[in-house]
Amino acid sequence: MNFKELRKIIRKIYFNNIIQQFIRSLSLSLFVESIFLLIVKIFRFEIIIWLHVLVPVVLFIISFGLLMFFFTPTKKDIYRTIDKEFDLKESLLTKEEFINQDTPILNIQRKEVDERLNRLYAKDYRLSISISLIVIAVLSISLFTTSAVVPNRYEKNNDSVSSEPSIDESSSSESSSVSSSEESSNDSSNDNSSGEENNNSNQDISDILDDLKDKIDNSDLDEETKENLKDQLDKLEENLQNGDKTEEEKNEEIDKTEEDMNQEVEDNKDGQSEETKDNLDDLKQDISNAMDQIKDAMNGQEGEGNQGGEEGGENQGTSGSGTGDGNGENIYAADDLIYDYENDRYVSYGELIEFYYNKVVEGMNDGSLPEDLQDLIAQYFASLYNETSSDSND
Amino acid sequence: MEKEIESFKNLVSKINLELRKDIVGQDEVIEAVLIAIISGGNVLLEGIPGVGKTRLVRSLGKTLNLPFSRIQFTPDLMPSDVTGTNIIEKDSEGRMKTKFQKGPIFSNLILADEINRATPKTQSAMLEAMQEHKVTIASKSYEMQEPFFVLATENPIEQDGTYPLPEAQMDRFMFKLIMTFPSVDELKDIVKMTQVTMSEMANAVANGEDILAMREITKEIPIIDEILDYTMRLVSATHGEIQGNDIAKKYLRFGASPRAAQALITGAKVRALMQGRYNVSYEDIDCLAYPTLRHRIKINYEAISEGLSNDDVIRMIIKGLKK
Repeated sequence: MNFKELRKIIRKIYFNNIIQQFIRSLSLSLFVESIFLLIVKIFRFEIIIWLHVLVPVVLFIISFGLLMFFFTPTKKDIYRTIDKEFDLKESLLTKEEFINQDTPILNIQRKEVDERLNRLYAKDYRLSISISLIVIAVLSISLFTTSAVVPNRYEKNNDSVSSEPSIDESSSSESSSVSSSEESSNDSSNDNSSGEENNNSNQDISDILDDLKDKIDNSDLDEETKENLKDQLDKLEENLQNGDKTEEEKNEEIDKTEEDMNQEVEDNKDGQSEETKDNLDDLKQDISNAMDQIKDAMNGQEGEGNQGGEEGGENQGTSGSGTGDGNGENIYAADDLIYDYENDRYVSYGELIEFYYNKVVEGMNDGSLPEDLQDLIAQYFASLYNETSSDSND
Repeated sequence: MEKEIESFKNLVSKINLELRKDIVGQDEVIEAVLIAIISGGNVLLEGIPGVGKTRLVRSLGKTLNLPFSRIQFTPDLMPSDVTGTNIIEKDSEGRMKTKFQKGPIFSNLILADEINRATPKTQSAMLEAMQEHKVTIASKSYEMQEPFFVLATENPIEQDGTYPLPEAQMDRFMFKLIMTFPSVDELKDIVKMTQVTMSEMANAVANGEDILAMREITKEIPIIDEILDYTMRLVSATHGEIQGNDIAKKYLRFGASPRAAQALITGAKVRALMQGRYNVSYEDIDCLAYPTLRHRIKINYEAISEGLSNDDVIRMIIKGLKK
């Protein structure tokens, strides 16, 4: 009997079984890992990255081991497969089952089976994988790929805000929608890993300082003062990039620089025209704003509106944090600053309200506002104006 | 043993060859009839008139060199017309004595034509002989000559005034075969052949002893437990109320008896050897499932309303079984 070819066929059958169990185990581990990934992303669990490798690998090893242990084909299974693949009509199985019996017909049967086996060749046995197994494997891979590439949309935003605030002319309920849209834009711009936060923060600070330097250059100060101010900014940047300093020290550094610079600008106002003085006041405001921005960039805070008690504390209007929930609360305090794109300057909210209030009054007087709406508009602005006034007085 | 097996194969092929001289087409029927006769079973043949039922049995009788008798069943046929009866006659000394006059059933090959036309009583007499291979008249038993083979026919067209065989009696037939109307080409061959002569042209190539020897050989054919188990599951699957098989529950009123399992195994062994194999395979069981089970199961109205036949239900059951 051609044992060699039969042994080859048997080896092929075992190999086929290994492949099938491999695919099953792989499908199972990928499927479980996909579910795991999705759960982690949806519920915002903080999982160490190598766990995403360990879980599927361990699951694969265990399932593969178990499948190989429980589903390794027996001798009978092998013979059944050979009978089926080579159309032996269960003759090999019969030979195996009656191997210990000795009757004339069984002897003839064995002889006939041996003759048939002699005519078999291992190359005629083709490895096969069931279609359902292939489908399961493809589905598992697809699910895994999908879950891996789905962005973590629910990650916490720990980065600072750097985008320009927008002017909000509407009521507070609309402010919430504006602020939330700004928040989403900021979220996208602040989608950094913790490892990149520092680099982005430094870049933001550099940008802010460069911006401020430009404003200083365009201001009405004398050249010496400009250079002094710019030097102070360089020194500040250097200090902020110093990793040895604590956050508190850096904040103090910022405050001191702000104070010094504002003082220097203030000193420069002497003997200047009213217009120049106003411009220098604006520069002071720019300096204060820049320092606030630097603090935010450094601390990774979202603009939360009024910094509380700080002179010229500005609401960046970029986050809509806290109060922007459409319940009618004001987002901006009276002395909050709003960026005026047209004039490239910051104006206080109170000033803006006053401006629009005057416009409303003008509209009422010249009849451009509909009469039936005048009362409503008046009440609205009165309430805003009153709040604004009360906030300024605080 | 090799000689006997070789002889078996030769005989089978010779018988086939001779039968093909008289019967055109009907390959499955011929094969099943041969299997039944070698197995020692009987066959119920269904077919419209003129498809060759009588000719088949006649030809078989000639081929096997066995006495053949034909019993035309009619409503007025009495049991004694079939089995025989005691008659009173004078012996050589002038004394009156009873003598058993054997009926037409005392032959090797019987064609029981239109068995469903006879009364149940006459049918029973026939069927008792089929089952027991003997007839008991006035407490005396008369054995049939082996091999004893009955091929009963049923005319599917004329149902008026007939007495359909009860299910219990149907069970005594090993196979139920359906002789279909021949194809155009086959019809052409039949006409050409019968234009020459209407008589059977088959020659004797075997005899009763050969059949008995073949029967003994096939008993030795091995069958593995797996296939045995499969066969039992197949027969059990026809009983929806017992085994919980969904198909049987849905479409069958009742299932096959244990005789079906016996018939399947016996027939499968013969078929395996006829095919040149020395072991029974799943194919043998699946192939013989239809002639073995179709007359032993009864479909319900749901199956009828869905246009399913007995064979369709058997096919569904086989498909649902795991090998």
